[in-house]
Amino acid sequence: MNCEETDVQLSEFLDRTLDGDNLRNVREHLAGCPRCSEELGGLAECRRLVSNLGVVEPPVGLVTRIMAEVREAAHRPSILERLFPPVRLKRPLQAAALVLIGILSVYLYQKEDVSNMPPTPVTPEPVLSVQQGPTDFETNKPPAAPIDNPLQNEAKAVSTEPATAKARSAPAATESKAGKEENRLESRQEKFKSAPIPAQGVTTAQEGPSFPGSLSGRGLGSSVEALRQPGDRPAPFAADRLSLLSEPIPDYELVVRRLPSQRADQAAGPAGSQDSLQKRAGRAASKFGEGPRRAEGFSRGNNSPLEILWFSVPYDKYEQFKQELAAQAVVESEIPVGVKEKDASFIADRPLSIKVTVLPSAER
Amino acid sequence: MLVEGIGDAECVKRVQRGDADSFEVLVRRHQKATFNLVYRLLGNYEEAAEVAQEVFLSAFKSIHQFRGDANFSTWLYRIAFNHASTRRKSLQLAQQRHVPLDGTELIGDGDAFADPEKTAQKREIQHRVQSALNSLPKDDAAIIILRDLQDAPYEEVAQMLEIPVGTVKSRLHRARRALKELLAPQYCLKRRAS
Repeated sequence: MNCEETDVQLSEFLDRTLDGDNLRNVREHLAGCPRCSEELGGLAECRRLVSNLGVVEPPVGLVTRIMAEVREAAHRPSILERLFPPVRLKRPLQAAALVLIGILSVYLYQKEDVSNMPPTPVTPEPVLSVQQGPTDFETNKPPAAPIDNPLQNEAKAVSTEPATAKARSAPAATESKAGKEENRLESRQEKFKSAPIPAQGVTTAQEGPSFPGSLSGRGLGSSVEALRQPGDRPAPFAADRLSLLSEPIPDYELVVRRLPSQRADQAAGPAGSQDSLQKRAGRAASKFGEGPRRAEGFSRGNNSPLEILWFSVPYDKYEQFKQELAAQAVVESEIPVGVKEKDASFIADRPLSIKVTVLPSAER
Repeated sequence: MLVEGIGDAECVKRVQRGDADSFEVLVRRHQKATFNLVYRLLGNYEEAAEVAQEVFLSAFKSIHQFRGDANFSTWLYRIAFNHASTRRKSLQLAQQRHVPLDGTELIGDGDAFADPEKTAQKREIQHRVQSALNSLPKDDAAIIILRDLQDAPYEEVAQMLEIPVGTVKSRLHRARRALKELLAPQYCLKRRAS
């Protein structure tokens, strides 16, 4: 055994943990090697010095301090216990959190569903009927064509009167087609849940059973002529059942002003007219004008009555309708409220909803 | 009421069942060895007292993790070694190590009536040895303290430091040689003087 092999085992030799051949070999080497013997002596001296360090007495009261902290910790909930409450509290908390998450999920889902809907032109509101009564646009033109004349049915002026007896008096065919349209609109309206007031009864123009969707001859004249229709007819819209919230958003909103000559004719109109257009429109506007927009327009008109008419016109006949309307009154403004370029293809599939606000003549 | 006669394992079971008072038996039984281990690793009496307190508190909080695979003392010394190592590092004791030379705690042999000159010489030697221990890496210092000061068997040292027994032997030899080199001037002077 050489010095290196012996050196590795000197600590074990010092600790008396060597046995057998290792112990005998180390002893034999140390007996003949002063260098390794001196190394062993140095290690033994170090060991003796360390062991002579002795045992140091702990400070007095250490046990008392330790146990004070131990007893305090024993009665103090741990961090985990504070973070995770016991089951009797955890279960109700988890249940409440689950319910809250569910409610929040439904709410967010509905909100996102509505926000993701395309900005389609808003539905013509259900309650639309043809304006037939005498208007301030009454001229010497002949009265409107008979109801069964298809040329008169190019456009439908509609009012917001609820489906009452008037709706029952309307032709069945008209109701059937208008009903389909209304059902479609109502279903969309329910889906969007945007209208707080449910759709009301629907009635269509009395002058025609349905809107044929084509123009020929007089074109939209019948609808426009409705502005001049004298005689007894239902109110343009049931103002007492309307509110701004239930007002439909038209595709186009036109503001026209009566011609002075029309006012003169209107003044000399048939005495049998039960309710003049001005009175009806004024009453409707005052009732309808709960919102700031209509109230403002009403005041600017020096208490002049105005009339709001609704029309349903095929998309491709709108320009013709506008021309005929311009022949009867001065078109002061045309606002494409619910129409956008990108929606043109969508709108072409259904009639346009047009709102016409009839202002009194300028001479007033 | 404390029962001093019961073993560590029984005390641990009682503490695990919620009897905090039984822990006091364990504290009284192991406080001296634990404190000395910490003190020799830190070289500072006040720090050692504080760390020893933390060691027992930590042991009490985690006593449910003690499964009885090793002796309670081994498990406790491992906690003490870890706490002392952390404190030694945080306080940067490598630069601030010192030994209170005027304290009585270094004597520890109860020789208050010994020759003052011999007492002073003994304190000087203890100071140098403690300084040498503090200069060693913490693992080497721990293995020397456990083996040469507390006479812990190789197996217990291996369990406490979580290293194989063979590693304990080789590391102990390396640590002793390093300590001998640190104490060589003192040792040579003594030999020359003698």
